Amino acid sequence: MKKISFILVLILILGGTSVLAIQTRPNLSERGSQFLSTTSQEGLLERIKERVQISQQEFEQNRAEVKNLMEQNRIEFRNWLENKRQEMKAKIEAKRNELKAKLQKITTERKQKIAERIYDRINALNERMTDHYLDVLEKLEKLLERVESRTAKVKTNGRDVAEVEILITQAKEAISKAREAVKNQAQKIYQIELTTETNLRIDVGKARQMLHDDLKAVEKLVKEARESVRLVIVKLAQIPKVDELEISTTSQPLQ
Amino acid sequence: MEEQTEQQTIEQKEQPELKELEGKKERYKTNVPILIFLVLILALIFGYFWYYWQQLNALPQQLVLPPIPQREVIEKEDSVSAVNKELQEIEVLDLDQEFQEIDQDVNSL
Repeated sequence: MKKISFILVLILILGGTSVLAIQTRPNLSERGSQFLSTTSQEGLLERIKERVQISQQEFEQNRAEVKNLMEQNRIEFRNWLENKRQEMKAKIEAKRNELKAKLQKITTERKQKIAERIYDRINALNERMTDHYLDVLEKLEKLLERVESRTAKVKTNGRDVAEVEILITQAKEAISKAREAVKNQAQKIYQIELTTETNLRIDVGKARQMLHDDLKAVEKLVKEARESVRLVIVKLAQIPKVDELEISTTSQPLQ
Repeated sequence: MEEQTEQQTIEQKEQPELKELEGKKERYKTNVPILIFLVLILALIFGYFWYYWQQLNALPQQLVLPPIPQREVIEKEDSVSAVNKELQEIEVLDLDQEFQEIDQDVNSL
């Protein structure tokens, strides 16, 4: 009896942990959010923060690891987005067929073709613009990594970079926020809700306006991210001889 | 007789000229080695310069040093100036311009 109860308890424990493991493993759609924290990952400054002294070689090694992680994350996010878009293509096509059927009932062939073309162009523009915003954010991330490298070098020479570090954190947050918005925007499908032929232009215009407003909101966040990176650079540039400082063998303890 | 005396006077007149000529010949004889010596020295100097010129021309191509840049222009990849320059190059597309084609279609409905 004891043996049976022991086996039952063991099964329960093992079963429980495996269920937990399954629950905590994110599925493909959830994974997208993981890539958003590319910039909020441990950066170079955090990595070498605890070090009392650091050699040039160690510094470069840490930097290479950070860059490598960022690159991996970028590739994974791009792949995730590509898969998502493949899924979306079928949905876009299905909605296009629905629109075509509705248009055939209410309007002329000429207007039907124009409305279909607008539908295609709206969804294509969304893809193109989200790709463009993603490119901009990736460039900003790379620049910020270089800024971090310069800041770390300045710091190892005993200069005060507290304000720069705060601005770096803010820039990372701004990029992360913009990236989240781009990710959400990239998953949207725009459809034209038809009412009557007389309202066709208004109905199509609504879809156009919706995309415009959504993209404008994302653009605002991307521009804010760019501005936040600019502010870091401006602050860093105020440090005298900032570009001449390098990791020295007798570097200052980092705090 | 008269002819003899004439001959004698002519010889007497010619004698100093002959002596002068002989003197010149002797001086010439003593100057020849000096001249040869000078020519040799000139030949040596010329030979030295000629050899030096040949050596200069015979230098292998790879030994010719490239022109030294007047100022070091290589920027550090993480320098503030380089990063700022690249940031200025990042452009965000004009959204309204991207909507132009769609707007044309909407207006034609």
